[in-house]
Amino acid sequence: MSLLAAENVGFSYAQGRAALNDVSFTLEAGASLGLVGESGSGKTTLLRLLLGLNRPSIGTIRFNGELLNAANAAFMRRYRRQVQAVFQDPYSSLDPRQKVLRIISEPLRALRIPGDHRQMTEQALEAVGLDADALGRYPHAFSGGQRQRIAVARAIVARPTLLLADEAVSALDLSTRIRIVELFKRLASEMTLVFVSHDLGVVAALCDRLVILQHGRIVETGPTRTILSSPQHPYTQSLLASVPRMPA
Amino acid sequence: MTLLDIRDLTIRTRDRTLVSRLSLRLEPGQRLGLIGESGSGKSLTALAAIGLLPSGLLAAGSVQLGGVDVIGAPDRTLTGLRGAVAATVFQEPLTALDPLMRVGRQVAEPLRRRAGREGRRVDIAREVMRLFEQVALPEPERIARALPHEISGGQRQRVAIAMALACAPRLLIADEPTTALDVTTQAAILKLLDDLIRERNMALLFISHDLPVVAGVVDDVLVLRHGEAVEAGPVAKVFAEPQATYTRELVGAARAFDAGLESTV
Repeated sequence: MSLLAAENVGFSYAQGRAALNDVSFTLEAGASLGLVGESGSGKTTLLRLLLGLNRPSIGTIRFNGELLNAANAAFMRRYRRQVQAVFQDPYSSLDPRQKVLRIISEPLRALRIPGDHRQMTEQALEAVGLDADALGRYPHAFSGGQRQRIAVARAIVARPTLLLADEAVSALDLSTRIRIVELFKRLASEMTLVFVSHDLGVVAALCDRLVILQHGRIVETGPTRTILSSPQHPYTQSLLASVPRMPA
Repeated sequence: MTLLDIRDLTIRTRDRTLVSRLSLRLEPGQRLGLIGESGSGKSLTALAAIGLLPSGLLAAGSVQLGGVDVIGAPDRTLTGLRGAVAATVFQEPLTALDPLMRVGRQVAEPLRRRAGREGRRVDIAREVMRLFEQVALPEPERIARALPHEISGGQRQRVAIAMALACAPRLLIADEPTTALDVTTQAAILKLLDDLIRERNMALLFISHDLPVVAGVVDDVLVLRHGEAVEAGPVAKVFAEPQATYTRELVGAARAFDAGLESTV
């Protein structure tokens, strides 16, 4: 059984045309999946459905075979313990009034996870490569890359099965971005990862499978290496051809 | 005559130095890339070149644009330089355009100013259409009547480029002109910029954090870090044999992402 399975998922915002159409894919436990698309492709909408923030207008999403249903409180409690997210902007996603210790340990309290929260927080901090003295400081004392490490620590502190990342390195400078990609790569070997991005270079470095979205539909899906070496759909081909490269 | 000559430029707030003793020269027709990450001072340098530094920042050293001293120059002098000598395209076309004015009128304005400056009578409406065609805007009549929010991001950036071209500048300053755009749109805009600059033999000061993008449009680069130049030279040489540790780190990261895309079955 797949960890995550979307079947014929469609979604329309109120009075709008369909943001997603007939989207189906499966994700096995331990795998890493890149959802790639440009603006208007529906990648963020799809992520919102996976987070349970919106419900599909049509079709189903299953997690471990169970129907993802935001109205089912018991399921959503279990789901939130297993699924965590990291977002694009490390400046707006951390509460500036709270110290790092409180920020990272927040899911442990919200999800009522038993155990030594301080110790679990320290372990998460170590996993993202930050020193323990970070815990007593506020977010503004950190650079963009360090803040994204804090956001990742918060996402992994409750030891989720599935990590969802939405353009999680797009706002970072190149030299920082490559280090945070390394961090995600390490995490991907320990948990299942869905990485949403417009940046093919980043998902190519991180994900073993890709889903290419255009105008709310999947145009191509398959192993990353296959898609990169022989893209079938004209849109995937133009996407790949458009990525600027370094001179030889 | 050197088009842009910056010597020992230092930009400071009251307590911090943001750009430190920076020098660069741009000859007519030359294309220079200013590479740097956030906080490197690359955008401030571009603003200083056209005398648009925010108030509260102090500039020292010398900036000559078209042979005219920019630092400390009165507004009248600067207004004469902007557009005629140098025009700028910024990262976010939505903030560069007036949200309440139809885009045709926004492009007409610099055309009218230029006609006045050169003492010519021109058919402004026809010139707007001609510029829209040159920047490959589809349905130019419809777009001329549209407000900025009614057209796509790529189309807005084409309008911003048309506005810059309307001034017939000798130097185009482009500050992260494609960073806010989708990658397929970016490719089209970069091709357009390249063609237009070549046809008009304009000089280009291209500011970006994105090494592969810079590599495609300029001949020479200057790498900035924390307001200081760390390396300069022909782009092919700097990217092939980076000397400074920082440049090596940037080039290494860019090549690592490239390598991921080249993977074969």
